[in-house]
Amino acid sequence: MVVVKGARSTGSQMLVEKALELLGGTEKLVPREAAILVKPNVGFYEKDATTDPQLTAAVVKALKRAKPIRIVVGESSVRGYDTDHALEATEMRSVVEEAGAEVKNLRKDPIVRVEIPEGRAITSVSVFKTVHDSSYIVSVPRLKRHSATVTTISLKNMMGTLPDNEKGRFHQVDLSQCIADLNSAVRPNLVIIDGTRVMTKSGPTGGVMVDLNMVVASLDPVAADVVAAEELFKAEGVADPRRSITSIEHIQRAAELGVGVADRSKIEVLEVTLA
Amino acid sequence: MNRREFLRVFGVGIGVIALFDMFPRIIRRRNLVRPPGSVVEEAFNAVCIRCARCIQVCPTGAIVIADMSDGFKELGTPKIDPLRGPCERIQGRCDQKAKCAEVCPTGAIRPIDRRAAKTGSAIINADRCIAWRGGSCLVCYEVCPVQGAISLMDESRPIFHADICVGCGRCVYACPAQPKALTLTSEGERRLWPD
Repeated sequence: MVVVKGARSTGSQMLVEKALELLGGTEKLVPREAAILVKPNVGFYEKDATTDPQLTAAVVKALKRAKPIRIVVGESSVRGYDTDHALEATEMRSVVEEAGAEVKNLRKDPIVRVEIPEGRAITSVSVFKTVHDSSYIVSVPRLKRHSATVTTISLKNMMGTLPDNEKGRFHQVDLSQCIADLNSAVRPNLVIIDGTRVMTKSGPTGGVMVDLNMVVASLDPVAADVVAAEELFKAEGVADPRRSITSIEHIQRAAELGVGVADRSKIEVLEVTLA
Repeated sequence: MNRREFLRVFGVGIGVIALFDMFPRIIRRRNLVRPPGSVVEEAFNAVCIRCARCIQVCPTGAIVIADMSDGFKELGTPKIDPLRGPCERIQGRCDQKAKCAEVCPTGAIRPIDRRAAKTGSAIINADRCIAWRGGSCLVCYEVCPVQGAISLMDESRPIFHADICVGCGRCVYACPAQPKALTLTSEGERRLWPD
């Protein structure tokens, strides 16, 4: 678990490179000949509400050094938002294609059923074929508040791998438990959280943007969400950030399923500030 | 057939057509939601030539063809069905220029300033709403592009404000409840006058 902070002038490329270097480097982290899926948050048309394309491109460039058989940057936007338009309006498509990765509108993919043996609310889930066919998943969310789940970070970000009717089902059944169940079966292998500009006070759109110039990176999506949420709450001036995190249900339920560690006292963080 | 019989058949025929015209509106009990920048309803059905260009060009597929159940006078004219897609005049692919207004050859749909566009208002049936029934859902609030159109009671249940809502229908489209908890009505719509 690493937290890399910088100034506004540091830039996402340096933050991402440092974070991955501290985790051991992509050549060590990523298995050989991996079929990588990079899953940024491109849920909406607005740049504030979505992962920074330059940061995503930096992740792609670093992953290329692991010599994967392919890297796909994929997303299926929030229902009611067109994924192709979101990829265009946020410039995610143009910036990532220039960095040399394929950009995919997952909503056009065929659908595959995946079993969730440990699932408590759901025991199987439909995901897009590209997700199922990927051997290494990198969740690259933007750090934001969320009206229904308190925060939306690397765990909630995985909802972009679901077809529309499956997203709807999550809300019908039990949103927080379903997010946890999903991540127990479709687990991100690596998490790089875009904390360059974060959405405070309210979200997933319309919140107050704050420049934190930060990247949180980890192999544990639960721990990453816990540490990133703490940084978000600190930026808001919340009285007891660590206590607030215990109320984030989907994070707690994911920990209960063994997706990762939510107990802050057991999470070791290496924090580095770049001059 | 003599004249009396002819007049009787003719009279019955007129009656049937009038019934076909009135009946859908009686059972529908709601006016159609029209594309943004549509002229007033009295003129719309007369000005629209049912060319369907607006339907072809709408990027979200929100504009569909009104059928017999929508009324005889309305048959073949365009209406917005949020279950097919939202209207993106306020936010999205038509936020610079409404594509429907751009292609309409008769001016049944005209360019309207983004800040003035209002196709109607969304209304909620709380009995069907997942949040109002105690579940975890705020999708309508999350997808709404207009600050203040939906507010939250106790941070968990949505309240709809028709005076701020622009009627884009994104909330209706995205609502995961089955059956849907939201409906798009023409309430508060802004229409233009023909020349």
